[in-house]
Amino acid sequence: MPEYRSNTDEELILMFQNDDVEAFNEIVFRYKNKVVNFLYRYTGNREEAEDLAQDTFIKVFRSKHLYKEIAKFSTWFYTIAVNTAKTNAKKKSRMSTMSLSDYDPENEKDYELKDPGFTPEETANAGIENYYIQKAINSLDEDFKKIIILRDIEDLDYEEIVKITGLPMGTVKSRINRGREKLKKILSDIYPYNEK
Amino acid sequence: MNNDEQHIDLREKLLKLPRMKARGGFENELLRRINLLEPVSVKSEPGKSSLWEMLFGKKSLAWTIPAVSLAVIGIVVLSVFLPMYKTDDMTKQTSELSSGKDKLPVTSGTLPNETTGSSIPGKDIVNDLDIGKSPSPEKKDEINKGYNETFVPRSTKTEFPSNTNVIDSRKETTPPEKGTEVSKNLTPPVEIDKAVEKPVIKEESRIENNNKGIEPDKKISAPLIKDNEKITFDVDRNTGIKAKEDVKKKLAKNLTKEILENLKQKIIDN
Repeated sequence: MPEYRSNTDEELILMFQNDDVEAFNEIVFRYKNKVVNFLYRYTGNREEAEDLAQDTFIKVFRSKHLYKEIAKFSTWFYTIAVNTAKTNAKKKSRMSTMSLSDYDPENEKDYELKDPGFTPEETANAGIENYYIQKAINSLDEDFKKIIILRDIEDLDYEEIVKITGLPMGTVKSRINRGREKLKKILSDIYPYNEK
Repeated sequence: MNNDEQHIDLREKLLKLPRMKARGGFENELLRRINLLEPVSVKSEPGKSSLWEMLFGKKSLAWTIPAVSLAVIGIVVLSVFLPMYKTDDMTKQTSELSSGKDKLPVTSGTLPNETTGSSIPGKDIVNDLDIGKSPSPEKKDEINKGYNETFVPRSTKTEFPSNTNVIDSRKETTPPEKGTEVSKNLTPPVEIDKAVEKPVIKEESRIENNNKGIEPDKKISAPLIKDNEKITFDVDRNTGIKAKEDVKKKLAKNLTKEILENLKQKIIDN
């Protein structure tokens, strides 16, 4: 695979479109950590994030012919990842609604709150502050959450976020601003060691 | 102030968050899932192509809907309005025929008024007879001449009703009583009929021959003439024959008078 290291992402996907499976392996190698990190921050659950990351790569594998050279590969890839995450979130919300509707007061085990997905080990490694930051991100609305993650965690530029989300530049900027303010407020409320 | 600069502390915190890495078996697991999904996807593709999905799915043939609908509308319109159009034409034609605008030229029997002044020899005589006008004195003489040459009068002919046509009158003819002197001098009825019929046949054959001479390609046959016209033709023909018959009767009357007078004189002489 070393010969593929010099190729750009766009060249790799074009090679994969020509049935070069090794090019796809290189894409997986380059993007697996990025997408797992993005999805972990989006879902707050590592296993779920890895499953969704695999789903994202499968979608890329199956719909390779849909990629056009006019866009950056990273933009196309993150668009697929965001859509996969959104679809998963919708499924989860439907599931939770059903479990709430089936709530039986006598058997309170059925009623489950959202699991943050942090194991004690992860919490220890990331630190207490990171734990609360992630908790604050989880509590954000979907519209703000994905844009904050893309901008402040994945460090994508505004143009790319505009293309991924399909929103106008003004909307993206205002949502980033409002999302940050909300996040700060949530952190100040939940983080016990906040400096005042 | 820029948005990023405004929330620089939070942004730094978020950027410093530890980055999650995929587990060691991530690629193998992905490969396994792809291998599992590939045959399924191949199998599921033909199943997906239901009619509904073809028309309204993502890869729909949406453009076919207006085309097909237009074609169907066109067929329906044609199937509904074409018979209506045909019936309208038929009604127009029948009305025109009934009004007599589009009468085809009659080739035998009575000719239409337009052809009365034609230069076909012998036609004028027939037309005069057909129309029922009294022929001019010169023509009358010609006719008389012609009939006198061929016609042998018959006493019984005068007894026929005036409105009977030729064919019927032939059937209704009763042979003259044997033994009477008048009947002895007269020719038998069959001969008279032949004699009477000759000029008419001559005239008709002359007209037909002339028409053939004018339009050799046109065959005068029944299919060319429509039913409606046929009826009018028969009527006209009958009237023409009747007119002829009247003339013949008049001539016969005159002749019989002469013969009777001759017989009287002979009897007196004897």
